Amino acid sequence: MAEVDQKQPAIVGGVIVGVLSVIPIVSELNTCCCLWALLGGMIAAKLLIDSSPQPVKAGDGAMVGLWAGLIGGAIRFFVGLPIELMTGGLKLRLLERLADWTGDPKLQELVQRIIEQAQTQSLLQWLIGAVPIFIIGALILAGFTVLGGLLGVALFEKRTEPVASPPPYPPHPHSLPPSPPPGEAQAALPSQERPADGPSCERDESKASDHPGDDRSIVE
Amino acid sequence: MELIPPLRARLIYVVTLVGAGWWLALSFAAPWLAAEHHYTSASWVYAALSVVCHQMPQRSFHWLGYPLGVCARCVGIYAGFFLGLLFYPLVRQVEEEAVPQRHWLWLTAAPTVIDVAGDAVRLFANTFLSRTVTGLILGAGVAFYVLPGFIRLGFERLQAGENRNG
Repeated sequence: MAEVDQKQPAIVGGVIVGVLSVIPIVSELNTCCCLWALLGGMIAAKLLIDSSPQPVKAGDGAMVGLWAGLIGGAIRFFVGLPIELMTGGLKLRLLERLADWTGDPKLQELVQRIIEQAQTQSLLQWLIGAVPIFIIGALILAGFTVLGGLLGVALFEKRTEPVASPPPYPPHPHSLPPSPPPGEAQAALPSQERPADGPSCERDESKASDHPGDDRSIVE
Repeated sequence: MELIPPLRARLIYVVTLVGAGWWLALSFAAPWLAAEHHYTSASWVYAALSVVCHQMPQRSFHWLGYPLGVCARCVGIYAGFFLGLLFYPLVRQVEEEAVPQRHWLWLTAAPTVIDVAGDAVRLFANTFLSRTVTGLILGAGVAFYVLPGFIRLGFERLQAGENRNG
């Protein structure tokens, strides 16, 4: 396949993944099987398909999805981390309320421990804990955008790979251009190759070709 | 486009299968770590998986007294994906690059869509079983559409690495 510019589809897909994954509340839809990552990968694949003159293969879709995921992951890391820092307390309160709502004592205990841990740690400790989580999250996003890219190709690529044309056959003898008249043919031969006293080159009509339409002279 | 040698395709297939198994196992690792009182590790796994799932306990299977890392539908999708990959060689050759016709993908997605939509409009209430089974079907279907791409991607990366190393 001819090289198609994957940058633009990857950037567009990546920005969609990244922005939708950092906006509070909107980003929560990522919890539906990484919806924004799948969508971003699919959009990147669709853009690649639209810009490619040839059918896009699944591998190309995966590649553009991977790039989109890495861009989206980077946006999520550099933009999402400060947002998380600002809204982390609110999320913990929501988590606590959710645990209370379930009435599950083990879950409540787990959430309580997480909250206690969060309240006692400094900013540096928080960063040490959050940065690896965000990096893992970014990698997971990249993985799901690859899936989105692959699914995008499966869904949107309706063209099929053209079947490679077979090598040209040698021309059929019957389709050869007519030979020059006998005299000219003999004259065209080098003198040493000319038959000395051989039969003259003439067409024997009795031995005419069995093939209809074959009106070539038979040179004997 | 270069054809993928069967041996190499099988190698990438195995790596993909192991990766899918590892991802599925991660959902079970979270409650196991919590039950073993490794709360920090458990919270890390729960936090990492929170990127992809709402993790609502009332919609999740429990194991060892703790919810799995992802909800029942997600477990179904990941388990289906793993099983789809596992049985893939029985249905198609792993080096085959063409994906099945896309109507099969819609067909495998339809039960999940109906299950979600029916519950959302209160036509019926979906259950653990319906969420898991429809997820299984979707995951298994998706495996057939993404594996050829994974194999092509892996092959091209391997080729690029070999070319770099001379």
